[in-house]
Amino acid sequence: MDKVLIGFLSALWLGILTSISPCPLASNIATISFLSKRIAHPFFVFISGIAYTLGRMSAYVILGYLIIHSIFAIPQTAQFLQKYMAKALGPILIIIGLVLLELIVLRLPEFSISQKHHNKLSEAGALGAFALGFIFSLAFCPISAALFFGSLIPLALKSPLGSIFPLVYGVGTGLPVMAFAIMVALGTAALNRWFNFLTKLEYYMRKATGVIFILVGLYYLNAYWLKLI
Amino acid sequence: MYKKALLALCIFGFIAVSFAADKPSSSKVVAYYFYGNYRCPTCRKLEQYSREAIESNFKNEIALGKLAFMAVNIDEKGNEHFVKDYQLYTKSLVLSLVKDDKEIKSKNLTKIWNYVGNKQKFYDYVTEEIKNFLKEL
Repeated sequence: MDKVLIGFLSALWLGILTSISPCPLASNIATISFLSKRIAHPFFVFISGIAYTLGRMSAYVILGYLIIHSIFAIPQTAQFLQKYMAKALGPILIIIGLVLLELIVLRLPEFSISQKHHNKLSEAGALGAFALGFIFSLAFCPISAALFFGSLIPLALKSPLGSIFPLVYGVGTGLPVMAFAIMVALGTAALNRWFNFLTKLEYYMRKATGVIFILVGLYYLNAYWLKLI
Repeated sequence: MYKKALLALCIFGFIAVSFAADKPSSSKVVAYYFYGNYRCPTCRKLEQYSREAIESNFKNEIALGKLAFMAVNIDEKGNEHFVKDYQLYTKSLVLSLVKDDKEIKSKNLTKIWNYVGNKQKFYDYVTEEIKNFLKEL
């Protein structure tokens, strides 16, 4: 039992270490700004924070499962994700940024799922946050690859409950965003009488988020394509 | 005619023997630092520390051809096989023990990632591991 607990804590700690390593830190900052654009609606920020973390957890669990069960080989998977996902991230972030700034207008097809749920989820940005978490997790950089493939996976392979480790690790990597979402949920609720001000703030936050996404996108674009700095 | 042929054979034999004597030892330790096209600041530090630790602590071994440091870009054509050979998942420092042109064993020094924040510990770790490999030459 102790061994299992130590394993879980190690997985969580590795996740936290990952969350503050350069690439995931940049993506977490982008996500925090993404959540901030709904700052006047603490419930939405909170839900999106959870959705983002769930997105990260799902990506790691799927990847972990495929590796632990030897469906994917570690070196090839690791090199592929580092080479192509991180390369794709720059253009993706820049496009999202341009959409947020309304410089590009996206017309997404309407899905015929329950309208009530659809509205709530899309208003909360939960689906978007989930997708962000999923994509960001798969964009591995050297340090995050060392932590996931070199530390977490060997740890998971040694434990009978190893398949759950990527799940715990996912929670750790999303912790800064979760902490932010909880703080906003608690903090903004206390500032309820400032609602008008916060609603105004949302407009600017949306613009700021667009700029931050473009900046983070440029960071990835430079790192993987242009190599100017 | 026979004399000429014998003389030619002797000269050829002499040249062959001298070349063999000049050939560097085919047994050595190779320290590979594997990187890719994307080079993060920490990755550059890993390469710099590895190079420094090796070049400053093993001057004699390098001069004698017993130890070599090589930085290899795995994204370059022809180097892809290293990924499979050494099961690489990120930037890595790998020691390879070669005897009579054959690799006997190798080790991925994965702890370089733990020590990259502490130069001295990094040097000590790499130096110790290389010493262990050199013992087996």
